[in-house]
Amino acid sequence: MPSDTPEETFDLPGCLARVRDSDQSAARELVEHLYPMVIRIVRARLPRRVAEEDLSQEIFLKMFTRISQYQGSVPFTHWVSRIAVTTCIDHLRAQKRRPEFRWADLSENEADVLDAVLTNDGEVEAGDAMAAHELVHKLLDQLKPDDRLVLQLLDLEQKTLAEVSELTGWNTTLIKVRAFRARRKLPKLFAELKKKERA
Amino acid sequence: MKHFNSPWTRLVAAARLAPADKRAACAPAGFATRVSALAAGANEPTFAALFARCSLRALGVCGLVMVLGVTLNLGSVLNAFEAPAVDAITLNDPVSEWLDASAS
Repeated sequence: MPSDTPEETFDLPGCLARVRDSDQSAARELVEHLYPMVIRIVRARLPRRVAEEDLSQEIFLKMFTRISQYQGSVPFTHWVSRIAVTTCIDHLRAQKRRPEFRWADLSENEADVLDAVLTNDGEVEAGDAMAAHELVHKLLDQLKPDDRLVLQLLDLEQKTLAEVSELTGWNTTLIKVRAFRARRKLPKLFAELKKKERA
Repeated sequence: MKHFNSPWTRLVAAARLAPADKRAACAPAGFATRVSALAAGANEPTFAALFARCSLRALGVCGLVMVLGVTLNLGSVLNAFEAPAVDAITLNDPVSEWLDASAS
């Protein structure tokens, strides 16, 4: 996974060595270098009522606490992204109650998109992509955090099984099983929504 | 692939057309400084952590000394258990001695 940061010349091994020697300026450089990658993960999986800055800070603090455990067997950015993903999942798990998903709470655009995909009458209009995106997240919120993550990575972000495995640390069989179970729950969610719409 | 043309697949396909997140991806001002300072503070040894570390070491040393002590004095310890307890009690029992003296 290539780094998304503009500084392609960033000397990561050198910076890590300085961080291990308790160099604070190196620690600042490392945070600034990794921030775009971490914030992208956080924004895609942000739990409700958690500020993205607080979550990013927690991820970086975990990174610094565990930095002595980093052996270099995987690229450092992969190692940090795994910390970011697991921290997000932990926060999602901590949210015991999931919001109720009601037709009445949907915006007009979201209701139109949902109607279009449920009735199978043609494609969703390109202008409704944002509404579809919001709707996908509302549906994913109804699933367990692990199921939600697997579907988000596989279906929405179209990552491969190997990439999901790298990010989560789960083996491919487990990912397939979780995806299968999560996809089986979705028709039930759609059916419930249909029922609520008629009611 | 049963889910191939399901409402979910169509919905997700539409959602993928949504424009990418355009929010700034740079760290907010002062974020890196705050995080690195917090990390440095977290790594500094506190008195409680130092005490806990020393206590654990002391516990280990105490256990080792105890095991060594018992091993070196194993003979005396075993003898103490094997000695007839009844004789020891009767020989040194002041009440029985007084009773013996009063009887004679």
